[in-house]
Amino acid sequence: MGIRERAEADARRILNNKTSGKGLDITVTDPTGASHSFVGWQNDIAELIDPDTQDYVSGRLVNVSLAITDLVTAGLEIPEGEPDPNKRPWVVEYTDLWGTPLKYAVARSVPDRGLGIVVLYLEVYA
Amino acid sequence: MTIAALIDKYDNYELVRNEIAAILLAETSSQQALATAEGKDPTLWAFDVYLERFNPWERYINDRTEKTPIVNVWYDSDTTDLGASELISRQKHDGIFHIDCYGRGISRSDGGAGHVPGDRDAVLEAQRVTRLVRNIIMSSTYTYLNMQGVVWRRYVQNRMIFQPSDNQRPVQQVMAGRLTLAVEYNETSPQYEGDTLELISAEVSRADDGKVYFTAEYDVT
Repeated sequence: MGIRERAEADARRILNNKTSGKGLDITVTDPTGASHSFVGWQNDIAELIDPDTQDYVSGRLVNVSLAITDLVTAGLEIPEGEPDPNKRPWVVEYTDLWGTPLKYAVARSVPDRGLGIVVLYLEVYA
Repeated sequence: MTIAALIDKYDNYELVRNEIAAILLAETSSQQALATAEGKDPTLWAFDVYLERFNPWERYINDRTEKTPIVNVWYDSDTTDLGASELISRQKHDGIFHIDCYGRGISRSDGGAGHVPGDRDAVLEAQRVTRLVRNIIMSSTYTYLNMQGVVWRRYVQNRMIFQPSDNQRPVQQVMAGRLTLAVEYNETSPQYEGDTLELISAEVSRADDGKVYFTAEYDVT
């Protein structure tokens, strides 16, 4: 196993670690409506939004990180933001620390194909 | 010598700014009532009005569905029009006021096989509120912004929709439109009132032949 494969395996193991790590259950629903369960990381932090008025407003930056190998194994492509309103977006669901189920659409996908991780930036999906 | 009276008043630019906000607040309520009377969804005419603020978005951090647009009225600058001013008591100012209209978009299912994209929803919301605000402010009802005698005229100098910075992708889709409102108005200032040195009474009379006589009485002792 080369260093590249080892790095990918380590990253995947870290992402999938629910017992002593930061992993949590994440459900990804593809545009066909099929749902798939994964374990990955999640971030939900505050940030500032500038609508370019020079006046910053409070916002939240939410993303999840998944192992690309897990997606490929499940027969999925790497999720991406869906620009076509005639199609369903990729949907990501998980439960926060306080038991609240949260549902988001994928707004932007940032894959790292060298390390085998994709970070999905999310937007509120109602 | 100093100014004799306490300066305890607002300048007119402040009153104009406040009046713009008051008009918008009154009209959003009125329009919602009219919409209800016509059987339409009144929430489409609803927006919250703020003065010199930009952080009311705090409430959207935890509320995933709240979409009520936000309108922020703020004063930018003004310049003095010397050609229409006199330098003692009254100056005409050409003021710039910005009315920022924030729209929040929420990505959602369209009920079928597609979805409503949040980014487009935010743009359309910002444009919709900007449209409402422009129609209110430029209505002939408010030609002088309820301040006739102070306001000379008002007009929308510029209308623009901002492009959001895209270095990150927050969960809230936010877009803003800005109406730049030019308002011309008078500004006044405290005036010097001279002391009375001496009272003089005078009488002007005209004789039968048309000659005018001026008679004054004053103490010369």
